Amino acid sequence: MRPTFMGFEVQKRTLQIAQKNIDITGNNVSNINTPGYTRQRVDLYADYISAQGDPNWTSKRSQLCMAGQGVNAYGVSQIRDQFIDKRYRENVAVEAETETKVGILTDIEDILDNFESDGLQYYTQQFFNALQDYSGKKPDSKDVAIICVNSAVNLCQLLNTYDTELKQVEDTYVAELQDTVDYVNKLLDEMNTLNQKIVKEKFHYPDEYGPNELNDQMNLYIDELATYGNIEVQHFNDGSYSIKMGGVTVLDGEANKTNRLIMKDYNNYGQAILGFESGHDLNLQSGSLKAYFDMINGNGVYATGHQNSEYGIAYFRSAINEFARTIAKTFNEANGAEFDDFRKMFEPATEDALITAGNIRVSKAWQEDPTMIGKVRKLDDETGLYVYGYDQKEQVINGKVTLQNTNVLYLISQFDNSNIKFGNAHDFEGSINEYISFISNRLGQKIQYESGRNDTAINTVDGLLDARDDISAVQIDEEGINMLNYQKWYNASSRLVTALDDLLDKLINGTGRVGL
Amino acid sequence: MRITNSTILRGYNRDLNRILSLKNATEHRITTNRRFSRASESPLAAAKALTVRKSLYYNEQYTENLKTANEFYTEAETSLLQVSEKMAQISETIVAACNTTKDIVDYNIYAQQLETSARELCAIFNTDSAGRVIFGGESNDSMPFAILDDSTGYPATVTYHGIPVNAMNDYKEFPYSANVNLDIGLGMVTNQSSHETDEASVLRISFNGAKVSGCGAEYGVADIDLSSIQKNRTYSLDVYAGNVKKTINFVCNGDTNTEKMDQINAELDKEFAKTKAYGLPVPHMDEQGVIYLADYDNGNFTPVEGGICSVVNNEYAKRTSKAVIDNDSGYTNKFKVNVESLAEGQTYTLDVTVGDTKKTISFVAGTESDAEERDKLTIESIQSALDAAFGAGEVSVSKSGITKGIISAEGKNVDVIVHDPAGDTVGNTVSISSTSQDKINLKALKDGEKYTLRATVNGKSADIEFTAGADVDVTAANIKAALQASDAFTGMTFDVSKDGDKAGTISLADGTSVSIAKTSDNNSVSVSSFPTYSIDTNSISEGTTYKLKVMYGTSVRDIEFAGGADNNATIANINKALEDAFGTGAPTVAADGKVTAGDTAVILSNSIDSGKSVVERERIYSNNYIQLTLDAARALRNGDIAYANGCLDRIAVAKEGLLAEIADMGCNEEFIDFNLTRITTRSENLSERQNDLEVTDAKKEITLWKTYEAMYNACLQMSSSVVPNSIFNYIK
Repeated sequence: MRPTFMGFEVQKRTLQIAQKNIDITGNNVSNINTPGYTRQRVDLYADYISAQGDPNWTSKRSQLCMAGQGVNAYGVSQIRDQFIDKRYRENVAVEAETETKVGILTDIEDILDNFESDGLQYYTQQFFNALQDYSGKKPDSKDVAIICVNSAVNLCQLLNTYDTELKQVEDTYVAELQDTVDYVNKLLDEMNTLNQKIVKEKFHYPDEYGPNELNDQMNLYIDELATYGNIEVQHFNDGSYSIKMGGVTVLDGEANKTNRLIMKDYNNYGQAILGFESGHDLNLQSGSLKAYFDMINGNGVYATGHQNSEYGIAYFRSAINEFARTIAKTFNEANGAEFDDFRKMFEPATEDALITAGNIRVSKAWQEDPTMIGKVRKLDDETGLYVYGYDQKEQVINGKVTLQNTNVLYLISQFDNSNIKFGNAHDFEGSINEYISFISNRLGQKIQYESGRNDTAINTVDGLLDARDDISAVQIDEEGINMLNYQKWYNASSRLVTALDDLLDKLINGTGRVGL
Repeated sequence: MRITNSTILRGYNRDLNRILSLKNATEHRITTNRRFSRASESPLAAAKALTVRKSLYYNEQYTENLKTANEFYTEAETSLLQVSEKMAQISETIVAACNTTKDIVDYNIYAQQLETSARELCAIFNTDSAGRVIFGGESNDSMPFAILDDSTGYPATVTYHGIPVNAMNDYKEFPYSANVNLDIGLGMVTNQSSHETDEASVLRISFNGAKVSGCGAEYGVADIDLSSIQKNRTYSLDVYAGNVKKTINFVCNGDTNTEKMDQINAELDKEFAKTKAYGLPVPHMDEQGVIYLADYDNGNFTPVEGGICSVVNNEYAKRTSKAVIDNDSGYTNKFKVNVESLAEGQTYTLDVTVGDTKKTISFVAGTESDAEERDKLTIESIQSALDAAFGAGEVSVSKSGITKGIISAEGKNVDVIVHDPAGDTVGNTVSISSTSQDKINLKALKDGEKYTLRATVNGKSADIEFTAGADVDVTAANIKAALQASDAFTGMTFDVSKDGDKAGTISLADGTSVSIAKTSDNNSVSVSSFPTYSIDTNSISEGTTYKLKVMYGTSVRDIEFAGGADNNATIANINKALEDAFGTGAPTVAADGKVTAGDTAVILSNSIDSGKSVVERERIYSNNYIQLTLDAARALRNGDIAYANGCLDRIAVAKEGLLAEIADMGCNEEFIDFNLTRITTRSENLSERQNDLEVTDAKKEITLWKTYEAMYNACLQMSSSVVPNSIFNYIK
């Protein structure tokens, strides 16, 4: 037996649900421009009354009498594809990594530029030219010799500048890395707080429905975190999220705690050392944190400790240091410094220090005696050592400089000596000019490589964003259609109430009255 | 696919940005005119560009170097042409001076001209090109060449870097003589262990002054005035011996010249020990203070023919005293008695001027069959004459070695001339005449041997053959028979003298002389001319003393006799004098005035003119033409025309170095031009390549820029309809 007012209940619910649908449509339209907003849907189902609770007063065909229970809704769901999310986060990490790398490498390239400004090639060439002029014009003249000294001073100063500027770049990015670490930690804190909120809210939600807006917020945070490193996300039933970064849990949804990143004081170690509160090392495959780390610690073949074999700031500093050291060694040796300390052309600013780009300078001995390089070498029969400044006329070593330029020509020949070893044996063997080209080329190619990766990542990320929009973003026409649909639905449901009312009216007021 | 507003807007934004960044990049390429600003924009092109730039920089420098070399060679050429002109002028001056007889005033003027020319040559050789001395080799000392004056104040010695140009005949041994080279982009090759540059891979930009002007001399010795070396003083001498330079330092510890010599020889031995060990000639000092180059063998020093030894005070040694040194290579003032050419027993008279003192000395040449002993006796005779004239030990004559016969006085100029007998009582002229007849040395012919000879009589000649007999008689008979058997001499009767002064002469029976000569046959007899001298006794005045030089066999004697009251008395006087001079078997004078001595020839001469060659000046010629010019000037000042003339020939020889340099220079200049062209072409190609690599392709970029701009504008125009109308625009 059908309950008399069953239809009213059904239509009442239909009206409510149609209205909710319009509400959600409105919500979608409202949030069409809200970052991180995921379009929502009211999950509808056809209601029914279970036969198991069949009351005795109904007939055996009670299913029939209770059929037509109308529509009902489970809840309001979000439309997301977690696989797209996963892929997006993987790729956005690469995009961020490569972008950061390109930025840092470009800063290095701006410093080591040979094309728009006068760089290493130019100043090395000036030194070559000065030696050539000196050899051909007046090797005994201080005036011409001093041009050689000055060109060497300029070369040293350029190397000093390179060192200072590269150090500045390093300092800048070390500071940026520190800021990033702090920011990631702050982000983790906020996510942890949000986790707690979600869990609390979730308590009031049935089943898989959760606090959609809080989830959107969390997903935004996760997307952001993904730019700093490669992450894995785990979503628990209580609504909380756990996140691993580089394989180490940084946000523990179940335990409701964070594992903060720790960066050791750079100045103490001279290297970037990153780890977690838990004691784990940070070991990333991608993300901007990796970019900073690689670029600060990347020292190619010169890597020690926490450094790696990337070509980062450390490598290019090493390369410039090696250049300074090798130039100094090559010319000092060619000029006979191994026999006489005063034959050094280059020396470190502080005695006995290892020559670097930062401390290389033209030796005092050469500055005080510019024509020192013009003195001709002679084998001393008695000592078996080479001596410089032998005067043929007086047959004594008086340091006199003649037009004989064999020593200068020998120095000049060093520019084309293609067997000079730069750095340790693994790095480079060739001529000075080839090494300059080698550094320029290595840097250029590294940038080109990272730029290429960046372009690819951007394209992939764009595609994934489109795919994500395809699933989750609000499509306005779609919402308009829905709105029209739900409106008509509501109208229809209202009309049904009128029909039901008419039915009851007939039954109550018209039934039994004949001929009125 | 659901196209959502966010998809559209993100896409629009991204595309707009992309076009804008393309447009911006194009703008940047246009405004900077560069294809790329950073290596990363185009690593491959950047790598190539760096290489091209390097080559361009290098070429720029090589062009600069070639220009430097070009200037240098142009200046050098100018100088050498000036030298060449100057040389012609010098030759003319010497020719003019030598060709006519002039008095000493004229010679002095010519000498002065030559000295000025030599100074000018030095000045030319001392010129520099942009502060770079051209002819100084490796040295940039402003005056590689200098002229030192001698004690008389006349310019005497040309030095190159302080070393007399005559000191060494290998120009490479002078200081600063290595080549200076310039890298002109030929691919300079440098030995990384020896530091030496391969000269084929560079361009030479130096001239060795010693090579261009010549160096060394025919030979040379250094004469140190031993009296100028004082006991307990320190000396430092640079000794150049056979292209080896050593410096000897010593504190004089000897009193006598011999002690000083021994000390200096010990020092020389010490310094040149290595040279000696190699078996090379070493310097050695003789008792005259003369250092000469000698081969050393077991304690003996033999002068090296053409060896040069030169000594100068070491100008760098501090607190040392200076020894007086005269380097005898080139024109010297040394006089030498030609001891070896003196006639045995002959008396010679010399005028010797030492400082201001002039003395006339006479000495007798030694008589001894051994030449060495003879010379020794002669020198002893000269020395005793000098001792007698100037006091013992004042003036000496060198006993041996390269200076044998040189008369010298330490610290003083010595001038020696043969005493001019003009106006003296000795040497009145005797009228001497001579006839000569050809003869065969019959005694020298071997028994049984066949000989040939050519006889000529009355215009008829014939070669005859005869066999020598056991004695002179048989041989003479054989010759006579052979002559009479000859067809040419049919009907003639020959007479062959067997003894007396006519032994070996042939005549016809009527006394007509027959001249004989060698035939072309190997067995031909040797024919000598047999002179017969006669004194015209009628020309001899009574009471006058005459002096005759008589050569008898190998002995030469001066005889003195006085004219007698008549011819007989005169002849007796002469015979007496001859007997005094030659003893038993001496030549005799016959009544007809003929002087004979059996079969030995006697030669008479009147004067001692032959003595002119007794004393000669040392003649050494330099290989350096500036030095030769100065030497010629000095010779002219001394009236020594022969020497000046000798200089003339040698200047031409010495100029060879100059001509070789001029030729070489021409080659180098051509080479410089060739390389300039080569490098310019290469630079052009490289610039082109650089443009390709680095410079913006303007047409392409502007087209691109226009495109991007149009695209960007189009995009902007689209902006108002980027967000499409939605269904909401149409719902009623």
